[in-house]
Amino acid sequence: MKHQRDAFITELFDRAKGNKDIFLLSADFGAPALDQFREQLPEQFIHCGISEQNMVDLAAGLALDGRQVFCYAMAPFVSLRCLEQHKCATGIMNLPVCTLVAGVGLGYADAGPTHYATEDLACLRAIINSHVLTASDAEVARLLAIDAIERPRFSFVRLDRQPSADLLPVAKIDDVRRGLRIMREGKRLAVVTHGFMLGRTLEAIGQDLFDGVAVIDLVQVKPIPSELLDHISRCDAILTIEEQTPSGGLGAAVLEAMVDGAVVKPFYRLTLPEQYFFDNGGRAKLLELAHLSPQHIAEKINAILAAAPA
Amino acid sequence: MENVAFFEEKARVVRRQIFEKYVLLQQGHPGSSLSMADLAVALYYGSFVRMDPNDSGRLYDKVIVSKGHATACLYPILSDLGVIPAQEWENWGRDATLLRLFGNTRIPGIDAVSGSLGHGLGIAAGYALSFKRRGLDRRVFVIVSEGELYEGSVWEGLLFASHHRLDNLYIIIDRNNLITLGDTETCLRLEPIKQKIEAFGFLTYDCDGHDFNEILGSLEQMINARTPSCLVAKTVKGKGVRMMENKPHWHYWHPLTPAELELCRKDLR
Repeated sequence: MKHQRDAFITELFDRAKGNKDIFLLSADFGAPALDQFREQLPEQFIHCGISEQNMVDLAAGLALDGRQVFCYAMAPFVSLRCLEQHKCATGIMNLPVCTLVAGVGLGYADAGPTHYATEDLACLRAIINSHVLTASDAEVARLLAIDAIERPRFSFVRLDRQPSADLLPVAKIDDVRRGLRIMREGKRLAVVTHGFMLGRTLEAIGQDLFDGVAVIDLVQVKPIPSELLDHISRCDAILTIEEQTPSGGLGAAVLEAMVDGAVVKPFYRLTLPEQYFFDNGGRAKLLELAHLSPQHIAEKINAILAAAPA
Repeated sequence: MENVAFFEEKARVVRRQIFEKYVLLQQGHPGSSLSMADLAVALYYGSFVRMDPNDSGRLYDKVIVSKGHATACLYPILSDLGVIPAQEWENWGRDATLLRLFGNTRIPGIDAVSGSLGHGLGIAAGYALSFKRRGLDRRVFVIVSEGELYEGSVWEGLLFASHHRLDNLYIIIDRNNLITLGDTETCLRLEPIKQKIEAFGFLTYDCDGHDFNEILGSLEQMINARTPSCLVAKTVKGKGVRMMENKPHWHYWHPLTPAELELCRKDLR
């Protein structure tokens, strides 16, 4: 079990040792790998205080002087609190600033809705010039760090809070570069998901159940990889699963791409409801309440397959 | 200071040029542009903002006009210095040009996009920190309106710049007292601004923002201070055109009758 944040920042640290233009900024958000970075590369680390807005403006100034900047903070705050900075400071100037959005979805389970990042995907992908990527395991996070360094651009990398085992098949750098990873092949239904919900989806599907169900890890939601349409065009129906509210998230992004690409297929989606949760009991309980548990996912897939028998 | 007349004449030219451009465009932000004109003239013609010795036509130091609506005030100066091609200034309002009411980085000499208030100080701090970590003696000036002090991000930036001892960052506050709905002290009190910024750890000066003796003297002290510093320049919104002076509605351009236009031009002679 590995933390995505440590996988990303460790890779960043290794590369930053040989590149003094790589800067890591934190709004008082930590990680063991970050401690290593700030202790050994103090000239390339900046503690910004709990000031996400200033952190992003500062990142713009650094980037304007040729630095490659990584901003790191807790997902709900580094996404929405400084959304206007992402637009006006880094987005409009299209600067090579990569923001690590750590703890997306319901990751901060019992902390409550102030700490949930369940609208961030819609907000961040709405900003012109943005690239929005989501890690579903630590290996994807590590590969996203490599890709971010090799392709400096205005981007957001969404990381999960919880440690996890790497999902199979193990991600390769090409998966990240092309923006998606094929987890399972199938023709009857394409399930498109990412992040924490990818693991839940694979758990729902199990080893050999649901013959004909493809599962796609959509690493890059914006821009939508053109290859995604090739895959889902070959399937009879599409189901998206996400840990975001209904407006503007992964399901919306896939549906928009289908409309733009004139791909007409039965389309279904599972999202969080339009509701803030204040319940205790952890993330699994919250997902159960939101009808996003592995059992709910399995039921949804069953219902779709039953509606269109092979 | 014996060369004050030189700066005053430069400022008259800048005011006339920007006014005539707004007449041509029938839009713009005259109140704010005219209030900071003397500060901008002092910065550039006083060589506080230095040209790049290795690249003529480029500036070595950075200027961020955080109050982006007044960026156009810099264009006549940058054009005069050869940073902005003269044709770009001439074309503005007549033909294709790079120039815009709000600044952006496609315009030579404009070092950041601005327009939304409260971003400039943070961006300037990023530049300043980067220069220091490269070991470069490059200055970063940021011109902030007092209206921006309502934005929390400005105070985040002050905290940061002070902690990191950004002695190559120079904050200039254009304190013309007016925001859209009136006087700041009536709308929502900002004072005492100088003491507040001093409390954040800045060596803070104040001056009459239309008196070149005071402006130049303050800037000289800031450069020599080698510590984070700020100048609170007391200005008059719309300075130089009596019908616009201290009139909140002249934040934006309004149509003028021929008689009013003549009065304005008379003031600017």
